[in-house]
Amino acid sequence: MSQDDKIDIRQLNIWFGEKHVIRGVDLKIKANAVTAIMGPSGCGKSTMLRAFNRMNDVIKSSKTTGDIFIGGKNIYDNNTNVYDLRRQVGMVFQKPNPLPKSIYENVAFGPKIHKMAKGKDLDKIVEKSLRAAALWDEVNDRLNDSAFDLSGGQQQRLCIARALAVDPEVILMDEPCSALDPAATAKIEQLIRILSTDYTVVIVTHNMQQASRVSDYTVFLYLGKVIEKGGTKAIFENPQHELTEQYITGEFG
Amino acid sequence: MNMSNKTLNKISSFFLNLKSQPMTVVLFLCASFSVIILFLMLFFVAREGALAFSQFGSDLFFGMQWDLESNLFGGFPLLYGSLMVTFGALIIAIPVGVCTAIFVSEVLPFYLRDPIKSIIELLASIPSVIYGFIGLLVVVPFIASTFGIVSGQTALTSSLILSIMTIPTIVSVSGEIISAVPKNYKEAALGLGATKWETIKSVVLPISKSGILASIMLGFGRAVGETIAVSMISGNQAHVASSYLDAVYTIPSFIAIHMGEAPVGSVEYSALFGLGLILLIITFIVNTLADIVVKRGVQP
Repeated sequence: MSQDDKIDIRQLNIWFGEKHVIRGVDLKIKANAVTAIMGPSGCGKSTMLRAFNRMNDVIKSSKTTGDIFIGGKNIYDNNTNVYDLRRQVGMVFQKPNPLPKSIYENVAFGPKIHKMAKGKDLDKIVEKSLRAAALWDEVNDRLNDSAFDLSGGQQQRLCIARALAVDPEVILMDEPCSALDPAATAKIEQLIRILSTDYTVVIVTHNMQQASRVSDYTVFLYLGKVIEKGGTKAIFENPQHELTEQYITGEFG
Repeated sequence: MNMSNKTLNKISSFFLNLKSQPMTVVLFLCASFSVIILFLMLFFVAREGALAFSQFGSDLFFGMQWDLESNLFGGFPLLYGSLMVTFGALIIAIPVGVCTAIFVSEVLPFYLRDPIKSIIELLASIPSVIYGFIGLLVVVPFIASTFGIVSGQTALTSSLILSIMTIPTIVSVSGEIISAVPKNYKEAALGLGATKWETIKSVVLPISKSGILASIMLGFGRAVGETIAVSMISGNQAHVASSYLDAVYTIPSFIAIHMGEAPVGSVEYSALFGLGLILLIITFIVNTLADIVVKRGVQP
């Protein structure tokens, strides 16, 4: 397993209108590992995550300065193709958001728009992605059913399969279990562990137990600044910063 | 302890029900109001038209001639004219209206959306007589000179004016529906690297299609029932038009123009009500069909 840095963030600042949400973040994120970004609500963790695939661009009032290198390439460079970037950097959202299509079409959507495969090859990609998301056995006999017929947990795994189908290098997860019950959460967490062997996973969570269960590295974000970062075990057992300790012991959050 | 809790719950829920009962009655009455009005309208129009229906039956639908002296009351040319003009109007209004709605609520910069929307909605509030004037003044001569025909009062002229009257309805209703598509669904497509257009095509339109259909139904209602503007520019000739460059007569214009001369209680009077009933039936059929399509469309 390579331990190289996959994402390199330098002096990242993000504003929404007048609000300075991310304040000068420098951070390196390891390849083929799970990095958890945790912190209290409103600390900017989702905003930071959405900077990695430039989803903040969609919000008109947002302004971003600084650089983010992913695989050595600056994604905030002027000639970055955001559509291609979002293929390389997949995203799983807080609430399961399948497209209003069949299960098959949901997974096939990405490969289709990026013209990656057709016919039999596409079928193979769909099967492979659904297997990778541990959903194949539950849906292989009803691929043409509406994705809305699935349970919440299944929908979220479908969203993961959909992200995997375009062959990404990085997978961003924005509190992927916040809308799920404990059993579905356990399945997703197990999946995240497995995914980290092939992908760089960054997960945002305000659930500390989740961060400690699934991640190799943890970043503690507070009011738009990185307060502490390091191995998950080290942070949870021996936090260096007072704020981190207060957060972990539940004094605020 | 457990026992007394249960009794307490029962009693309190009983009183709660009682308390909510009057409100239920009021709400029920309000909800029934429009249904009752609808049935009353149907009833009165059918009652007045009954005489004509009993005498001429399906001739009111399919008869080719309307001639008082020969006691002929055939509504087919009028039905044909109405459907022709409405169809033509929708052929223009649906693509233009839906595209405008997408443009206004998805593509236009935020600060322009509301002003442009209000301007389009203003179009809907212009009295239809004014549309008739514009039709006579601008479109009629334009059609005549473009196609080299003697009179520009044609089905095409009416369809054009009607489409302009229908577009604001389609734009404002579809626009609202399109803007209401939840952000997280759009982000699903964008997050996979879809372009704006791919997102509109794969997420926004499928989710809002039943609302868009509803807006088209409203537009249809407006077009099929429009009276004054159409009667000024359609040529008003009760024959089965051979093309869109022919003059036509629509049911609403025909009723409006002839109602004043028809003695109350006469056969003609009743036949005009019969025509009105036909118009009502058409709108019911179209609405029901649309409902079925919408319900089927809910499951993607």
